[in-house]
Amino acid sequence: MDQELNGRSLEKRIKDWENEPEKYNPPESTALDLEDGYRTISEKSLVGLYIIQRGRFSYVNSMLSSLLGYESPGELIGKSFWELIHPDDRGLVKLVMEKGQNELFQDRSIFRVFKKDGTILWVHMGGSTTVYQGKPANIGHLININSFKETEKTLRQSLEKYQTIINEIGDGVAEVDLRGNLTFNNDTSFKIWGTSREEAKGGRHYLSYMDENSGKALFQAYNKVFRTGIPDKIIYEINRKDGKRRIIEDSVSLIRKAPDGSVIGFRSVSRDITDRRETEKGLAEHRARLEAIFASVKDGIVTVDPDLRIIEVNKSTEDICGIAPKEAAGKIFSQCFSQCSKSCSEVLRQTLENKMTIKEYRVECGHQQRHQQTVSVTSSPLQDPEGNFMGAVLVIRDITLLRDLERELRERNQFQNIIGRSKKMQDIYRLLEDLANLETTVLISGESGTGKELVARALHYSGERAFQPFVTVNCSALTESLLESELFGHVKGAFTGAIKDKQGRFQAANGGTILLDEIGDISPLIQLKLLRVLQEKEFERVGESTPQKVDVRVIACTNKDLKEKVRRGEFRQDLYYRLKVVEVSLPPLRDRLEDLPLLVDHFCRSFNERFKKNIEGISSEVLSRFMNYPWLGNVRELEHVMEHAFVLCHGGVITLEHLPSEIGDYERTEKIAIPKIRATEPNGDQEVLNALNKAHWNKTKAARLLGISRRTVHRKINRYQLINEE
Amino acid sequence: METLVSLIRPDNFEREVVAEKKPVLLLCMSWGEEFPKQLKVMEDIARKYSEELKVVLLEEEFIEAFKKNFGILGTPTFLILVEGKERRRWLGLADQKTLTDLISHSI
Repeated sequence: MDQELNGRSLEKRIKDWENEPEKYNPPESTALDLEDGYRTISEKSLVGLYIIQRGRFSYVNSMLSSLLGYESPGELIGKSFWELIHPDDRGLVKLVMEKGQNELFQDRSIFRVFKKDGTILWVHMGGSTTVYQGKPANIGHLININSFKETEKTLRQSLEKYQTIINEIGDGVAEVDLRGNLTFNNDTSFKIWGTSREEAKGGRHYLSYMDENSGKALFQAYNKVFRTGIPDKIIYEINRKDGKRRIIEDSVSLIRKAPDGSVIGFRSVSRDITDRRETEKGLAEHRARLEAIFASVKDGIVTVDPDLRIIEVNKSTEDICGIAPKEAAGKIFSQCFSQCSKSCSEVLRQTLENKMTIKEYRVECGHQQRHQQTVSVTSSPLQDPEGNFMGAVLVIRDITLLRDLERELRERNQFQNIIGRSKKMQDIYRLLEDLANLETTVLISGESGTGKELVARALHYSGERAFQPFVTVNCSALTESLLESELFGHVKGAFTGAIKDKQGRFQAANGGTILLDEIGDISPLIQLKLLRVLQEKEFERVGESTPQKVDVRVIACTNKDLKEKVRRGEFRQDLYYRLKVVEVSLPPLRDRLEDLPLLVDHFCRSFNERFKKNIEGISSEVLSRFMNYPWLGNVRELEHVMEHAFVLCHGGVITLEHLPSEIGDYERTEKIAIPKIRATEPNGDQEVLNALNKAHWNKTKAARLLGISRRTVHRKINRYQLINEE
Repeated sequence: METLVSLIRPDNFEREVVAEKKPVLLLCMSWGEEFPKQLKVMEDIARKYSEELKVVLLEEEFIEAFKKNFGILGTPTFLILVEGKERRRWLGLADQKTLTDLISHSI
């Protein structure tokens, strides 16, 4: 019996008993034993068992009362079965119980019951209708399935979570079987195709989402993945239902069936790359435009990485700096420039070091093939879109022309201690600037008092030798032997009176500049020795045969016509050309009378300071006299005249009475010799030429002879192209 | 030139710069379009730091002379000098903030 009970379920036994009661109805005594047996089994059961009659419990085992939170089965006896059922589930339970009138109701028999404390318990119910103690009854069981429901709930939540994730990701995910029918799609894949899950119902074949050509391309790509087994990417266009043409990128892989691995379909991850493609296209166009600008802009542009290695160079850099873009890429910046000062390299280095912009730094290139080239460089840090430092960009602008124009346009009143704003002086200032750093020998010519020594000093102090000695020698003041000793020095005993070694002026000027004033007066011997110094940069002291090396810039001055002296054989031609590499020819004051007021102001300031006076300037009569005076002694004469006037003047303005007599009386005495002012201008070139020859081409004197202004004389010289043939 | 900025030549360099007890801000710049603006900035700086700093301008004619001595490669170049020795340098055009930063890092 026990074996039989263990081998068959209680329900089965009850069912069999119900179907064939006579077969199982035992004799009364046996029946009592059997009921006791069933009751024992029921009380020991791990399943809650019950008998319901007229909707109320008439029997409950201990397990069921325990499941429902009651202390003993007795508490449940007589309680309404339906009150324990969750109101929402009562209809279902009733339906199940009615359906199962003559059979065990097991389908959908899962529902909620209230425990004693009011909490809900999920149970599985099984049972059937029968007769108990002569009355109809429902006999059945309740199994606690709360834990299963919790697990199910967790799984459901997890599934929902992953469904949400997969639906919300930006990529479309789809699976398709080998016939091309879609078996899975996330929401994004529908969006990509311009439809929705609802609209797509019925259209499960992939071709229903695209045009024929796209379908063919897609088939070929998928077929390739099928044949090779290697995941692949395909980019194709589709015409969506909303009329938009989109570009899609699919990553396709195979779906294999376990355990044999046979291919059952494809899985694709799709991305709408239309916007990306348009952005890429826009970027490509933008880059093309930038490259066009980069290539065509006149400024040189160089980009370097943080190690000063060239990233890119444009064509104009080749024009300005002489480096070819192809050769430069990848090389260290400074190594690409061998023929210039490499000043730009320092600019870039500072930008990389300080990560700051350097604006419009003017640099003289010192390029071997572009001697005068000046560039303005601007250097800025290079940053990527995230702001990370990635090098520097250098913009090089050739401003040689601009610099020249600036020089042309600039009208200076002064260059160091040289005063004058006339055109002639502006030209000289520019020449002095050009000569400042050239080591070339310079010949300064001009009448006495024109300021030759000032120009020599300006040349010295403008150049790199400024902090080195500046030595002057007046060559006309000494005899040949003394000048030789003075210039080159001598050793003890070289001649009578040479009681000790003496350093010469050349040695004293080593590293600096020597000014040889009145060079036209030196003897042939000194000319020869000087030529050697200029050519060999070495000399011998008097009384010594060992040559001395010397680094001296030579500037020579003269008020003589050296060319004429050469013609006469008084001056060595080779030395003449050696000295006259560049000639600065200073104009006499009478040829730049427009500078006279400026010079007067200058001397006023200077003498006011020196004599502790407060003289405002000169009267208009004095200025008029000055403007008509020939100034044969030039600026030096003017300086002396002003000094003279300052001594005599005790008022605030210098008048005619303060001037030296040769000037005060000049106009009166000269007027005697000057013809009357003509009513008309002289006719013809011959009359002007005669006057010029008579005045030895002194234009001021010629003007006075003709009774016209000096300016008119100049105009006529130009008009008739008159030439001084003296 | 009526200016708060002293002019420097080779003959007054020792007196004005080397012998100066205060730090010296020296501008080396040729005349040009930007020169007036830079001079204005220098004057503003000279006014602002009148107690702590001397502000000087290299006379244009002597720029070449100073280039070699100070390793000046181009213009404008700003130098902070203490007893004639270079402390800091700035290349290119500079506004007042740039120079203020340069000065504050140097004195």
